[in-house]
Amino acid sequence: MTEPAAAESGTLPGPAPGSPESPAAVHQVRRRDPVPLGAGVCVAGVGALVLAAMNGSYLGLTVTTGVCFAIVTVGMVLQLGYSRQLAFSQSVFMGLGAYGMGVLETKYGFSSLESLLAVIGLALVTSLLIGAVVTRAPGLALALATLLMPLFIYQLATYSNWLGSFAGINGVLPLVTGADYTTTLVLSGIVCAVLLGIATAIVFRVIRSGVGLQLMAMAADERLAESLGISLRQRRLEVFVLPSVLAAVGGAAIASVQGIVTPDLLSETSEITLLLMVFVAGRRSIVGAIVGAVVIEYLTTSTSFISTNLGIIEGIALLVILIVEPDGVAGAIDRLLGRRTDQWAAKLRSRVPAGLLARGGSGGA
Amino acid sequence: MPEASASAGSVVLACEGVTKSYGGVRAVDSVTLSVPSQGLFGLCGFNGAGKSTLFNLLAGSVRADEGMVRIDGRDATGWSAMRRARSGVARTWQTVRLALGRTTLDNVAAACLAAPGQWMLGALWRPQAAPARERAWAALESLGIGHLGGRLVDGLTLEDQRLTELARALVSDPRVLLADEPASGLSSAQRTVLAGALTAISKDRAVVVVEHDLDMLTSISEHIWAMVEGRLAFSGDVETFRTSPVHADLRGIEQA
Repeated sequence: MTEPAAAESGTLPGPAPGSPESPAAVHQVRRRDPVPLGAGVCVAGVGALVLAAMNGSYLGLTVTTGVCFAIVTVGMVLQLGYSRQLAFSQSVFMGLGAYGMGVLETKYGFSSLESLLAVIGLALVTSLLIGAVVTRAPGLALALATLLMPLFIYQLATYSNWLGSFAGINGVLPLVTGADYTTTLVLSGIVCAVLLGIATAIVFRVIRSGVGLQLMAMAADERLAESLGISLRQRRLEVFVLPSVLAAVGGAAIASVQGIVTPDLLSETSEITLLLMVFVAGRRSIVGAIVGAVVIEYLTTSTSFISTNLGIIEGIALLVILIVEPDGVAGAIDRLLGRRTDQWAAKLRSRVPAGLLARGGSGGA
Repeated sequence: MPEASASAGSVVLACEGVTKSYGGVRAVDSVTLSVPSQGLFGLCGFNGAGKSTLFNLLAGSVRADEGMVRIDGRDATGWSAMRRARSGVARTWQTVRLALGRTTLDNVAAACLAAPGQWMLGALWRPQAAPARERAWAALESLGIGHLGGRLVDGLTLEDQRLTELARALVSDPRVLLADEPASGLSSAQRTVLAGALTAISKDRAVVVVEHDLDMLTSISEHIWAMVEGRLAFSGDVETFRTSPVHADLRGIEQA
């Protein structure tokens, strides 16, 4: 678009038809999007295979718990990473899922499937009610509005005898019961991997949909998004509700795998752990959120030094990440790959005769 | 008070006595004007005259303290920017506002979903992204930058970023486009290209352009509004504007 003559008609010239940036080369919009389903199946399949291979070992229990946390962190990628809506309510909904399973199964005789479905419904209603209030607050105000929730719920759980006080609720049923402990753990792990696969597919689908495009605009600039006809209130509520429901599912899965739910799951340390899981690998990377959840769960349970000094180590780690690399490991890899690609391109340019580049590079800047 | 209606014909957007104050300063003071449904109209004035604030009032980004805004004759004073956008009022911004780290195509596609109010759950069955990207590509292509669809907006030139913004504003097929200093930062040649694009766009919709470049504005506009200290100081055709004292004042500042 550098020829003023074209302005007369309002249509401007693009590159030559054969060039790398010709419309035919760029305009390849697929009607069907197989990626979300493929990603979900892939995550569920790989997770199930890995957990089956661990055959009910202690490591298998740790990784299964990590997979449960990953259900929560995948939702946080949509809320925090993609939509930039910072809310400190994930541990609360994780606790709602875990305590919901415990209460329904031990006090009301629900099966694990019935409890899981009830917990999903409860989380949906609760997050809608809470979200309708707190998502009126934009940006930082949303974070502040949800900041006190974990503290309040933690106090409630520790003082309530009905919720087991500090001891919590013991005897939560596994998601699937096998012939022995090992089989039960493996089967539960596979179910958790499938739940993670479903969560991954849902979040991927949303991100790659038209709604995802709107969330992208909202994350970039809320004022701009509104001027494009995007309802901020509706989208803020949705990115509060979906991750909250996923957090409840994750919490329910954790309680089922561990057979017990304690107030620790609701504490502010738990919230920081979730943030660390998302930020270490990269807040906008679904794969990163899954790997981050599993790795950090492994480190916090298998290393006594880390588990003893969890608060200090997590606090320092989160601070360092936010300062050094806010996009986490995924961001660092992207940058390194980008630099490497630039270096390759520079080498290529130095080797290819200038005439060839001039013919093929009409639009490249 | 100058004649504020641009010309005969159905009015798509109008304001009556709108006023907006910030602290003790009246940024926009009792402005009344009507935008017909088709044509290109210029809005000019000194820095701080209230042009951008008036745009914000018309687009709903800012609420008026007094007065009324009408869209298609309906009282839209209390409408949000979102509702006004869905009613056919599109805008571009004085400084480029794009979602960095995303492609040109996605930046434009975000503005043209067939059902912008679709619930997230509905997106699982009907994602809408593919048809939106097709429309976005068509809009980019109509401005001659279809080949940039796959490029990240971060790496685009200012000229291409402004055209991307223009494509994003046009992709929803608005009835009126409010373009806030679209030529800002562009070279003379680029301004010529942009002027051609704006003229072409105004064939089937109303386009209101805020611009400091009087040569460009008077060459493309059918009607000019000029603001001074928050008030509408001039409203008339281009020839009358060229002989008005406001034009002389603006020219004086431009040359200084």
